[in-house]
Amino acid sequence: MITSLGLRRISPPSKVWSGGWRRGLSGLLPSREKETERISKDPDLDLSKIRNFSIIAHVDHGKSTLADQLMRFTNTVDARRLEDGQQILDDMDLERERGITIKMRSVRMNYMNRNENYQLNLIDTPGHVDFSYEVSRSLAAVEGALLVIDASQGVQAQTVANVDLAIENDLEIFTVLNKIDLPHAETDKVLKELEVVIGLDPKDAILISAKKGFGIDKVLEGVVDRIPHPTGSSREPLKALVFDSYYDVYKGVVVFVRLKGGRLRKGDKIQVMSSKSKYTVEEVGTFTPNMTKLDKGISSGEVGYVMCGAKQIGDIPVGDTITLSGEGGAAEPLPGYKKVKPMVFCGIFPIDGDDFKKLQTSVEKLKLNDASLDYQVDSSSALGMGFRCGFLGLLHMDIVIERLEREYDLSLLCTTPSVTYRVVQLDGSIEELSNPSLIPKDLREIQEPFVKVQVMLSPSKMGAVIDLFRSRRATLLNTSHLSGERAQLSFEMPLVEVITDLHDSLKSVSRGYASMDYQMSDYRPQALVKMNITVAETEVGPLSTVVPRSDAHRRGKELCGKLAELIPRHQFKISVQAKVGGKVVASDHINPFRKDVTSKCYGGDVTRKKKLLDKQKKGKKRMRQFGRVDVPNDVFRQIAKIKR
Amino acid sequence: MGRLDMKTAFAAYVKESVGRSSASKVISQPPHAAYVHIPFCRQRCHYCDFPIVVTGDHLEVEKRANLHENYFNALIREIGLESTSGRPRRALTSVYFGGGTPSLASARDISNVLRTLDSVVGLESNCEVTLEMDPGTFDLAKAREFQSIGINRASVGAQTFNPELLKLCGRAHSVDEIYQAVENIRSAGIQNFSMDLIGGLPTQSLETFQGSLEELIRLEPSHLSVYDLIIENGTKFARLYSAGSSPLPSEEDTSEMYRMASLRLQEASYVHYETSSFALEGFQSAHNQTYWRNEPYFGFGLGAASFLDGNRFKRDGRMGGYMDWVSTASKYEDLEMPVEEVYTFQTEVEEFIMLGLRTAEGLDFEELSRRFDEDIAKNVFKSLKGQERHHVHLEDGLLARLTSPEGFLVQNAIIVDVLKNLPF
Repeated sequence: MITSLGLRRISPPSKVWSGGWRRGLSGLLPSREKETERISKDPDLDLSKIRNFSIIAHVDHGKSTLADQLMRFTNTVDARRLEDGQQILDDMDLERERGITIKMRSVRMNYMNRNENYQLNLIDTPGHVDFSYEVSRSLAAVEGALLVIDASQGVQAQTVANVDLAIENDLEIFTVLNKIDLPHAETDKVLKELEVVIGLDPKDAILISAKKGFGIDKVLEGVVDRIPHPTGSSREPLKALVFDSYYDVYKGVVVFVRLKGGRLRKGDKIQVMSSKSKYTVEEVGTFTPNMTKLDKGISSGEVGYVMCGAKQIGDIPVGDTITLSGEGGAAEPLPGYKKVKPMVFCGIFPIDGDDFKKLQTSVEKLKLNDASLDYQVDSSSALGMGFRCGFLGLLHMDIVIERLEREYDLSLLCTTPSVTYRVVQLDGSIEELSNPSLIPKDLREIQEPFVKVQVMLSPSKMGAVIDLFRSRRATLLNTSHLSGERAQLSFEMPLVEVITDLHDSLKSVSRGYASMDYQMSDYRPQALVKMNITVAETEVGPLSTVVPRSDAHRRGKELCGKLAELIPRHQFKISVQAKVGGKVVASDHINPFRKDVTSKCYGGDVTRKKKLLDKQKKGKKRMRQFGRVDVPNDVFRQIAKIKR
Repeated sequence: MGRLDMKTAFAAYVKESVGRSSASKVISQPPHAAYVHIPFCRQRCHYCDFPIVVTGDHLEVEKRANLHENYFNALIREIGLESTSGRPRRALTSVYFGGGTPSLASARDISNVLRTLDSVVGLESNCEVTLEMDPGTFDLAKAREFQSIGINRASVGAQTFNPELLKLCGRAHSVDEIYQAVENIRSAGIQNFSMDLIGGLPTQSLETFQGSLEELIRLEPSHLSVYDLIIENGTKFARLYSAGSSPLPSEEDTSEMYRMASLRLQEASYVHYETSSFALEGFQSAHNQTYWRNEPYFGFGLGAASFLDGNRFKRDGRMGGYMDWVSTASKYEDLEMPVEEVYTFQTEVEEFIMLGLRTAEGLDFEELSRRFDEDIAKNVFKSLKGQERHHVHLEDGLLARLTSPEGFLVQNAIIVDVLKNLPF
């Protein structure tokens, strides 16, 4: 089949580098090995010999594998370094397990094509919708994008979303159809889809198998032939677009920039245009993939990194523009900068109250490297001291919590995720609240954030998917049949309905044959009420939620039922109630247990009995006490995961 | 007080309490109770995980005699070593021969032990001396012998009056033998005797339990132990049954058995004076109350537990290990009794509460104040005040006791609540 497609096998290095190349880069520092030889071969700023590009793809469509292959093919990495790389990658299990790219990086490759030496800058993009702003900024840093599509899976919602971002940024896009060697690859069908859904000419698509190394040369040729070279001049005022950054324990903040004008060298006095904060450039360089200093700096059209003594990555935010401070600075920043606002919030509390300090240091450390993580101290009589954290989305939240637990060895209690509500007070003033338990009893109106959602699916699942979305207060905006077996739906719905396991439910009703993506749209007033939960007449603040008035009974019943199932029996009967404005809308109860074991306790039994009670005591001490009721920590997580 | 002040004050308090690592004086007062373990049994009951030696009915007489002789030699040697401990003395108010089946031993052997105890520690004139006497292991003559050497209290392991259940439990005796044993004990002049009754046996119904309970009441023992079957690891029952599932009775049924026993026995003028103990007024077990008051006691013999100077020490349950332990020592100091856990102020408070709440006497807040401190007493009071009225009875804020049967039924949960709120 492969030969029939006219592909020839390229001889790749014997070792296969498995994914996640951008992590390897940070691991390969410091620059023990000077890459001077390779750098000296750089084209002397002949812009026509530079190509800046990204790879965009749905999760698991093979972006990282293709990136690895491009580096291997251009000898940017050799077999020996690949071995190092593999070791370095070992500690990045979180990213690999989830099969997604959390942070993006860039790498410079030198590529000989028809006796011309090209500088190719590949800028990676995060693969998930939560990070779409970061994706858009890295796309703003390039002139073209490779759209990688899995030939066995076809066009997915995220593919479309990423293509939209690429089109917004005026990029030249060409398609790379990956995994064509798989037995269930449907190359022709996917090419047709490409034409219908995205409007790209299937004839221009390059067919490859990144894993096997087929077609990589064609991809590189495509990059040179189809992607426009950068424009602009180093004589213009400096305009450096910040498209990524990371915090390194030894070097501090490393900022990735694309120069859209001017030059940037060591010793330059620079200014961050949004905050006006000033720094002196300590080092400029590029990743090849080693961190390699460039004494002559970088010029308009090029991509590289800058270090200037910033303390945390939020000091030089992604999307911002760096220019020279004082005379010679640019008057206007590059377009498109916005402050990223968290969309999903939850309370994070240490299970062991003594761990608060540890949690604080850990969150601060994460923040160094995650500008979009938002946090402030939160305290609750039942949960103790913790943080109210804001995230870009559910996945971002999961990643942060998992990193806190795994890398910082914390046991955490997390409350049900919430969105930011706009509460219109009786006096007409508006307050934004992301913690439902703080919503006052008397108010005029609650407004909630709405999103636009696109779903790609097989038409046979359309009914089930529409039902699912309708049950989540979604309005169907548009239906389009793309090809015989592919349709696109767009909806409008409250964000909170999206962040409570919509994605999982979608996967389950569509048997995995649907994908979705969403964007913030606006705030709308809704008939919403705050619902409180009481357990044995004691209010459990962290379980307060905002629900549609019409749905309060059903949701209350569901919540009470789940709590009755999760809270262990006590020696007394426990009532569980859902209340709206002080009125009970649903209730359930937990029957008391009948008896403990009434065994004998003589001299020889004391130690054993005491150990048993100690164990029970320790278990209870780890629980949260609401009035007389001990609630296991896991209850909060289970409630947060409630399936609807 | 603001949040921070409260925290600081609490931290200071915790520090102070924890700083008081030493236990109270009660723990190191001279012990006045002794437990003596006699490990021999005709066969192992299917629920039993005690350190015993099965002699079997078929073991040659001579072999059995040797076993007994060697064991009693070691036991008497161990008691003898206590004479070199230098411990202050107080005459024993109770001696308890437990097993195993102590009634399998000869009156002479038991008498030797008593005489040794008397010479080493001393026996009070009205010392309660209990011997566990299982049905089918003694006749009237032997009962008389036991009575004549000073046994003034017997404990008869009946467990159930249902023949099928006796068999299922692997008991070595019949129902008739229970009646016979009781008659022999009475005729021998041992009027003070206790009987055991187990609830929650496999296939046991409320009716069969009630039947056994009524039989017991008819026999008018001065004392009764009624308790739940516990499926212990390593027993035959553990291989056959799993807790919480059939043919073991439901939680509902076993709680009803306990409730029934408590109510019916109180009706028959027994005092429910401890979670699993009932007695006619004045016949409460002096020996067991030592345990529940968290006072020190001696322990001698295979697998026996002692509580001396704040060290709860359990002897080796394997015969070889125990024999070696005793025989290699020539004075008390040579007996290795490694401290598993240092007995701290906290341990004592917790054990005192755990044991005290098992009894009908309950906890005396003045005693808590005296033995520990006022803050502990206040803390415990507050925890118990928060419990259900029908579980905990508070008398004028001075005493707290669990109610019978409802409070006793959920005592672990109540005790854990109290322990949880202590500032440790």
